[in-house]
Amino acid sequence: MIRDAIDQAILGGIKDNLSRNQLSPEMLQMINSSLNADNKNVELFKWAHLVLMSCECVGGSSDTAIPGAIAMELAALAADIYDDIQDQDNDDLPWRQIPVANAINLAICLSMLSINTVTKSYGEDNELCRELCQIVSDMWITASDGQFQEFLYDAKEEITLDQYFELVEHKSGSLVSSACKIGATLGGASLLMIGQLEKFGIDFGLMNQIRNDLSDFLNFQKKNDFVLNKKTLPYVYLLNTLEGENAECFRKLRDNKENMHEQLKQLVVNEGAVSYCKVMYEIFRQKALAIIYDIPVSLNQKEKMIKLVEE
Amino acid sequence: MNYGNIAKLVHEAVKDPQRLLSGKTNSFPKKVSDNEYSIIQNTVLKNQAAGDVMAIGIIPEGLWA
Repeated sequence: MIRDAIDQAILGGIKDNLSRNQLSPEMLQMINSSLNADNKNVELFKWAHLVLMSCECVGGSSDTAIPGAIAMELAALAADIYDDIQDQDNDDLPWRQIPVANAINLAICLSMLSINTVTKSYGEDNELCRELCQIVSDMWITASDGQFQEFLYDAKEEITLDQYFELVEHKSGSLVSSACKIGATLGGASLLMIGQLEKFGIDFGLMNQIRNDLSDFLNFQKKNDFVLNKKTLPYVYLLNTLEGENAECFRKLRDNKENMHEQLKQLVVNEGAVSYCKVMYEIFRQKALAIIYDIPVSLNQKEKMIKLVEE
Repeated sequence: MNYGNIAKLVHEAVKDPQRLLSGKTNSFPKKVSDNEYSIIQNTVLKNQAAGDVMAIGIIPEGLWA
Protein backbone atom coordinates (compact mmCIF):
# COMPACT_ATOMS: atom_id res chain seq x y z
CA MET A 1 0.00 0.00 0.00
CA ILE A 2 1.27 3.51 -0.70
CA ARG A 3 1.71 5.89 2.19
CA ASP A 4 -1.51 7.91 1.68
CA ALA A 5 -3.60 4.76 1.55
CA ILE A 6 -1.89 3.48 4.71
CA ASP A 7 -2.55 6.78 6.48
CA GLN A 8 -6.21 6.56 5.47
CA ALA A 9 -6.39 3.00 6.81
CA ILE A 10 -4.79 4.10 10.11
CA LEU A 11 -7.13 7.06 10.44
CA GLY A 12 -10.12 4.87 9.60
CA GLY A 13 -9.08 2.34 12.21
CA ILE A 14 -8.68 5.03 14.85
CA LYS A 15 -12.11 6.50 14.04
CA ASP A 16 -13.73 3.05 14.27
CA ASN A 17 -12.12 2.51 17.65
CA LEU A 18 -13.23 5.89 18.95
CA SER A 19 -16.83 5.47 17.83
CA ARG A 20 -16.93 1.95 19.32
CA ASN A 21 -16.05 3.40 22.70
CA GLN A 22 -18.78 6.07 22.71
CA LEU A 23 -16.59 8.86 24.04
CA SER A 24 -17.86 12.33 24.85
CA PRO A 25 -17.71 14.89 21.99
CA GLU A 26 -15.17 16.92 23.97
CA MET A 27 -12.82 13.96 24.46
CA LEU A 28 -13.20 13.02 20.79
CA GLN A 29 -12.34 16.53 19.75
CA MET A 30 -9.22 16.55 21.95
CA ILE A 31 -8.05 13.20 20.61
CA ASN A 32 -8.54 14.30 17.02
CA SER A 33 -6.67 17.56 17.53
CA SER A 34 -3.86 15.77 19.37
CA LEU A 35 -3.13 13.14 16.72
CA ASN A 36 -0.02 14.19 14.79
CA ALA A 37 0.08 17.55 16.61
CA ASP A 38 3.71 16.98 17.56
CA ASN A 39 4.85 15.78 14.14
CA LYS A 40 7.65 17.99 12.89
CA ASN A 41 7.57 16.33 9.48
CA VAL A 42 4.69 16.41 7.04
CA GLU A 43 4.34 12.64 7.30
CA LEU A 44 1.66 11.40 9.66
CA PHE A 45 1.43 8.61 12.21
CA LYS A 46 5.17 8.07 12.54
CA TRP A 47 4.85 5.46 15.28
CA ALA A 48 2.30 3.44 13.33
CA HIS A 49 4.57 3.53 10.31
CA LEU A 50 7.52 2.30 12.36
CA VAL A 51 5.45 -0.73 13.40
CA LEU A 52 4.47 -1.37 9.78
CA MET A 53 8.07 -1.02 8.53
CA SER A 54 9.22 -3.47 11.14
CA CYS A 55 6.45 -5.89 10.15
CA GLU A 56 7.33 -5.66 6.47
CA CYS A 57 11.01 -6.06 7.27
CA VAL A 58 10.38 -9.56 8.64
CA GLY A 59 8.08 -10.48 5.77
CA GLY A 60 4.73 -9.67 7.34
CA SER A 61 1.73 -7.92 5.79
CA SER A 62 0.94 -4.34 6.72
CA ASP A 63 -2.80 -5.06 6.33
CA THR A 64 -2.86 -7.33 9.37
CA ALA A 65 -0.51 -5.07 11.30
CA ILE A 66 -2.64 -1.90 11.06
CA PRO A 67 -4.44 -2.41 14.43
CA GLY A 68 -1.12 -3.05 16.18
CA ALA A 69 0.28 0.04 14.49
CA ILE A 70 -2.69 2.09 15.70
CA ALA A 71 -2.22 0.75 19.23
CA MET A 72 1.40 1.94 19.20
CA GLU A 73 0.45 5.35 17.78
CA LEU A 74 -2.09 5.91 20.57
CA ALA A 75 0.29 4.66 23.27
CA ALA A 76 3.09 6.92 22.02
CA LEU A 77 0.76 9.91 21.99
CA ALA A 78 -0.23 9.16 25.59
CA ALA A 79 3.46 8.93 26.54
CA ASP A 80 4.16 12.28 24.84
CA ILE A 81 1.34 13.92 26.79
CA TYR A 82 2.55 12.55 30.14
CA ASP A 83 6.08 13.65 29.29
CA ASP A 84 5.09 17.21 28.36
CA ILE A 85 2.96 17.61 31.49
CA GLN A 86 5.87 16.53 33.64
CA ASP A 87 8.49 18.53 31.76
CA GLN A 88 6.25 21.59 31.51
CA ASP A 89 7.22 22.28 27.92
CA ASN A 90 5.83 22.28 24.40
CA ASP A 91 3.27 24.84 25.49
CA ASP A 92 1.91 25.24 21.98
CA LEU A 93 0.57 21.68 21.76
CA PRO A 94 -3.17 20.99 22.27
CA TRP A 95 -2.75 19.01 25.51
CA ARG A 96 -0.78 21.85 27.06
CA GLN A 97 -3.61 24.28 26.48
CA ILE A 98 -6.17 22.46 28.61
CA PRO A 99 -6.16 22.03 32.41
CA VAL A 100 -3.54 19.53 33.56
CA ALA A 101 -6.21 17.28 35.06
CA ASN A 102 -7.88 16.96 31.67
CA ALA A 103 -4.57 16.39 29.91
CA ILE A 104 -3.91 13.50 32.31
CA ASN A 105 -7.36 12.08 31.62
CA LEU A 106 -6.73 12.40 27.90
CA ALA A 107 -3.49 10.43 28.27
CA ILE A 108 -5.17 7.75 30.38
CA CYS A 109 -7.93 7.39 27.79
CA LEU A 110 -5.39 7.06 24.96
CA SER A 111 -3.38 4.44 26.90
CA MET A 112 -6.50 2.33 27.38
CA LEU A 113 -7.68 2.85 23.79
CA SER A 114 -4.30 1.48 22.73
CA ILE A 115 -4.88 -1.81 24.60
CA ASN A 116 -8.50 -1.84 23.51
CA THR A 117 -7.40 -1.71 19.86
CA VAL A 118 -5.26 -4.81 20.34
CA THR A 119 -7.87 -6.88 22.18
CA LYS A 120 -10.76 -5.96 19.91
CA SER A 121 -8.80 -6.46 16.68
CA TYR A 122 -6.85 -9.61 17.47
CA GLY A 123 -9.22 -11.29 19.91
CA GLU A 124 -8.69 -11.49 23.62
CA ASP A 125 -8.16 -15.24 23.86
CA ASN A 126 -5.20 -15.87 21.64
CA GLU A 127 -1.46 -15.99 21.94
CA LEU A 128 -0.83 -13.08 19.56
CA CYS A 129 -3.02 -10.76 21.60
CA ARG A 130 -1.27 -11.86 24.80
CA GLU A 131 2.16 -11.22 23.28
CA LEU A 132 1.19 -7.78 22.04
CA CYS A 133 -0.34 -6.81 25.38
CA GLN A 134 2.81 -8.05 27.09
CA ILE A 135 4.99 -5.85 24.86
CA VAL A 136 2.83 -2.79 25.55
CA SER A 137 2.67 -3.36 29.31
CA ASP A 138 6.44 -4.00 29.48
CA MET A 139 6.91 -0.75 27.57
CA TRP A 140 4.83 1.24 30.05
CA ILE A 141 6.58 -0.30 33.03
CA THR A 142 10.05 0.43 31.65
CA ALA A 143 9.21 3.89 30.32
CA SER A 144 7.50 5.06 33.52
CA ASP A 145 10.37 3.73 35.62
CA GLY A 146 12.69 5.69 33.37
CA GLN A 147 10.56 8.80 33.78
CA PHE A 148 10.63 8.28 37.55
CA GLN A 149 14.42 8.05 37.47
CA GLU A 150 14.62 11.14 35.28
CA PHE A 151 12.94 13.23 37.93
CA LEU A 152 15.22 11.88 40.63
CA TYR A 153 18.21 12.75 38.47
CA ASP A 154 16.95 16.24 37.71
CA ALA A 155 16.92 16.96 41.44
CA LYS A 156 20.55 15.85 41.75
CA GLU A 157 23.54 18.08 41.17
CA GLU A 158 25.28 15.55 38.97
CA ILE A 159 24.79 12.26 37.21
CA THR A 160 27.22 10.14 35.24
CA LEU A 161 27.14 9.51 31.51
CA ASP A 162 26.40 5.85 32.26
CA GLN A 163 23.32 6.89 34.20
CA TYR A 164 22.20 9.14 31.34
CA PHE A 165 22.43 6.42 28.71
CA GLU A 166 20.72 3.86 30.93
CA LEU A 167 17.91 6.34 31.49
CA VAL A 168 17.45 7.07 27.80
CA GLU A 169 17.38 3.36 27.01
CA HIS A 170 14.51 3.03 29.45
CA LYS A 171 12.63 6.09 28.27
CA SER A 172 12.95 6.68 24.54
CA GLY A 173 14.58 3.36 23.80
CA SER A 174 11.71 1.38 25.28
CA LEU A 175 9.08 3.12 23.15
CA VAL A 176 10.95 2.75 19.89
CA SER A 177 11.99 -0.84 20.60
CA SER A 178 8.39 -1.71 21.50
CA ALA A 179 7.16 -0.34 18.18
CA CYS A 180 9.73 -2.52 16.40
CA LYS A 181 8.83 -5.57 18.52
CA ILE A 182 5.10 -5.13 17.86
CA GLY A 183 5.77 -4.97 14.13
CA ALA A 184 8.08 -7.97 14.18
CA THR A 185 5.61 -10.00 16.27
CA LEU A 186 2.75 -9.16 13.93
CA GLY A 187 4.98 -10.14 11.01
CA GLY A 188 5.47 -13.60 12.46
CA ALA A 189 9.19 -13.13 13.07
CA SER A 190 11.29 -15.66 14.95
CA LEU A 191 12.34 -14.85 18.51
CA LEU A 192 15.83 -14.14 17.19
CA MET A 193 14.57 -11.55 14.71
CA ILE A 194 12.25 -9.98 17.27
CA GLY A 195 15.30 -9.64 19.52
CA GLN A 196 17.32 -8.06 16.73
CA LEU A 197 14.62 -5.51 16.00
CA GLU A 198 14.27 -4.81 19.69
CA LYS A 199 18.00 -3.94 19.86
CA PHE A 200 17.69 -1.89 16.68
CA GLY A 201 14.82 0.01 18.30
CA ILE A 202 16.88 0.81 21.38
CA ASP A 203 19.78 2.18 19.31
CA PHE A 204 17.42 4.09 17.01
CA GLY A 205 15.64 5.51 20.05
CA LEU A 206 18.99 6.64 21.47
CA MET A 207 19.85 8.34 18.19
CA ASN A 208 16.62 10.30 18.22
CA GLN A 209 16.93 11.27 21.87
CA ILE A 210 20.50 12.52 21.39
CA ARG A 211 19.42 14.62 18.43
CA ASN A 212 16.48 16.06 20.40
CA ASP A 213 18.65 16.74 23.46
CA LEU A 214 21.16 18.73 21.43
CA SER A 215 18.50 20.69 19.57
CA ASP A 216 16.42 21.38 22.70
CA PHE A 217 19.36 22.34 24.89
CA LEU A 218 19.95 25.43 22.79
CA ASN A 219 16.29 26.18 22.09
CA PHE A 220 15.63 28.67 24.84
CA GLN A 221 12.34 29.93 23.41
CA LYS A 222 10.45 26.68 23.29
CA LYS A 223 12.21 24.38 25.72
CA ASN A 224 13.17 24.71 29.36
CA ASP A 225 15.87 22.07 29.55
CA PHE A 226 18.72 24.13 30.96
CA VAL A 227 16.50 26.23 33.20
CA LEU A 228 14.99 23.11 34.75
CA ASN A 229 18.41 21.40 35.21
CA LYS A 230 17.23 18.61 32.95
CA LYS A 231 19.97 16.07 32.52
CA THR A 232 20.21 16.14 28.75
CA LEU A 233 23.32 14.80 27.03
CA PRO A 234 25.03 18.19 26.49
CA TYR A 235 24.35 19.04 30.14
CA VAL A 236 25.61 15.70 31.50
CA TYR A 237 28.66 15.84 29.25
CA LEU A 238 29.59 19.29 30.57
CA LEU A 239 29.03 18.17 34.16
CA ASN A 240 31.41 15.26 33.67
CA THR A 241 34.18 16.93 31.67
CA LEU A 242 34.54 20.53 32.80
CA GLU A 243 37.23 21.36 35.31
CA GLY A 244 38.64 24.44 36.97
CA GLU A 245 37.50 27.81 35.63
CA ASN A 246 35.16 26.35 33.05
CA ALA A 247 33.42 24.20 35.64
CA GLU A 248 32.99 27.30 37.80
CA CYS A 249 31.63 29.25 34.84
CA PHE A 250 29.11 26.49 34.15
CA ARG A 251 28.06 26.43 37.79
CA LYS A 252 27.46 30.19 37.69
CA LEU A 253 25.39 29.86 34.53
CA ARG A 254 23.32 27.19 36.24
CA ASP A 255 22.77 29.36 39.30
CA ASN A 256 22.06 32.55 37.43
CA LYS A 257 19.93 31.54 34.51
CA GLU A 258 19.20 34.95 33.09
CA ASN A 259 21.21 36.32 30.17
CA MET A 260 23.24 33.16 29.82
CA HIS A 261 22.28 32.11 26.28
CA GLU A 262 25.37 33.28 24.40
CA GLN A 263 27.81 32.10 27.05
CA LEU A 264 26.12 28.71 27.19
CA LYS A 265 26.22 28.32 23.42
CA GLN A 266 29.96 29.06 23.37
CA LEU A 267 30.60 26.62 26.21
CA VAL A 268 28.63 23.90 24.46
CA VAL A 269 30.72 24.28 21.32
CA ASN A 270 34.16 25.08 22.76
CA GLU A 271 34.12 22.33 25.35
CA GLY A 272 32.99 19.65 22.92
CA ALA A 273 29.39 19.05 24.00
CA VAL A 274 28.16 19.38 20.42
CA SER A 275 30.93 17.10 19.17
CA TYR A 276 30.19 14.51 21.84
CA CYS A 277 26.49 14.43 20.96
CA LYS A 278 27.36 13.97 17.30
CA VAL A 279 29.92 11.27 18.07
CA MET A 280 27.46 9.30 20.18
CA TYR A 281 24.74 9.76 17.59
CA GLU A 282 27.05 8.34 14.92
CA ILE A 283 28.13 5.42 17.11
CA PHE A 284 24.52 4.39 17.73
CA ARG A 285 23.64 4.98 14.08
CA GLN A 286 26.35 2.58 12.96
CA LYS A 287 25.26 0.01 15.56
CA ALA A 288 21.64 0.25 14.40
CA LEU A 289 22.67 -0.07 10.75
CA ALA A 290 24.81 -3.12 11.50
CA ILE A 291 21.88 -4.82 13.25
CA ILE A 292 19.59 -4.26 10.28
CA TYR A 293 22.15 -5.55 7.78
CA ASP A 294 22.51 -8.61 9.98
CA ILE A 295 18.81 -9.51 9.89
CA PRO A 296 18.49 -12.56 7.60
CA VAL A 297 16.01 -11.19 5.07
CA SER A 298 16.47 -9.75 1.59
CA LEU A 299 17.82 -6.20 1.22
CA ASN A 300 14.59 -5.27 -0.50
CA GLN A 301 12.55 -6.29 2.54
CA LYS A 302 14.59 -4.25 4.96
CA GLU A 303 15.14 -1.29 2.66
CA LYS A 304 12.85 1.06 4.61
CA MET A 305 14.52 0.22 7.92
CA ILE A 306 17.94 0.84 6.38
CA LYS A 307 16.79 4.25 5.13
CA LEU A 308 15.83 5.21 8.69
CA VAL A 309 19.44 5.03 9.80
CA GLU A 310 21.63 5.43 6.76
CA GLU A 311 23.42 8.75 6.29
CA MET B 1 31.55 0.98 25.16
CA ASN B 2 32.88 3.42 27.74
CA TYR B 3 30.90 6.65 27.54
CA GLY B 4 33.24 8.46 29.90
CA ASN B 5 36.39 7.58 27.95
CA ILE B 6 34.78 8.76 24.72
CA ALA B 7 33.81 12.01 26.45
CA LYS B 8 37.37 12.56 27.73
CA LEU B 9 38.82 11.97 24.30
CA VAL B 10 36.31 14.30 22.63
CA HIS B 11 37.08 16.98 25.21
CA GLU B 12 40.81 16.71 24.57
CA ALA B 13 40.27 16.60 20.84
CA VAL B 14 38.28 19.85 20.64
CA LYS B 15 41.04 21.56 22.63
CA ASP B 16 43.81 20.27 20.40
CA PRO B 17 42.52 18.93 17.07
CA GLN B 18 46.03 18.70 15.60
CA ARG B 19 47.07 16.18 18.19
CA LEU B 20 43.97 14.20 17.28
CA LEU B 21 45.04 14.25 13.63
CA SER B 22 48.51 13.07 14.51
CA GLY B 23 47.12 10.16 16.47
CA LYS B 24 48.83 11.28 19.68
CA THR B 25 45.92 11.46 22.03
CA ASN B 26 46.32 11.97 25.71
CA SER B 27 48.46 10.80 28.54
CA PHE B 28 46.10 8.06 29.61
CA PRO B 29 45.84 4.88 27.53
CA LYS B 30 43.41 5.03 24.65
CA LYS B 31 40.41 3.15 25.92
CA VAL B 32 38.13 3.59 22.94
CA SER B 33 37.81 1.24 20.01
CA ASP B 34 39.43 2.02 16.66
CA ASN B 35 36.00 2.70 15.19
CA GLU B 36 35.05 5.06 18.03
CA TYR B 37 38.38 6.88 17.59
CA SER B 38 37.75 7.25 13.89
CA ILE B 39 34.26 8.65 14.51
CA ILE B 40 35.70 11.15 17.01
CA GLN B 41 38.35 12.27 14.51
CA ASN B 42 35.84 12.77 11.71
CA THR B 43 33.30 14.58 13.88
CA VAL B 44 35.67 16.96 15.63
CA LEU B 45 37.48 17.91 12.44
CA LYS B 46 34.18 18.44 10.61
CA ASN B 47 32.94 20.71 13.41
CA GLN B 48 36.18 22.67 13.37
CA ALA B 49 35.72 23.29 9.67
CA ALA B 50 32.07 24.37 10.06
CA GLY B 51 32.74 27.08 12.64
CA ASP B 52 29.29 28.58 13.22
CA VAL B 53 27.88 27.52 16.57
CA MET B 54 24.27 27.19 15.54
CA ALA B 55 25.07 25.42 12.28
CA ILE B 56 27.13 22.73 13.98
CA GLY B 57 24.76 22.35 16.89
CA ILE B 58 22.30 20.47 14.77
CA ILE B 59 21.95 16.85 13.78
CA PRO B 60 19.72 16.70 10.71
CA GLU B 61 16.37 15.04 11.18
CA GLY B 62 16.03 11.79 9.32
CA LEU B 63 12.99 10.18 7.79
CA TRP B 64 11.59 9.48 11.23
CA ALA B 65 11.91 12.31 13.69
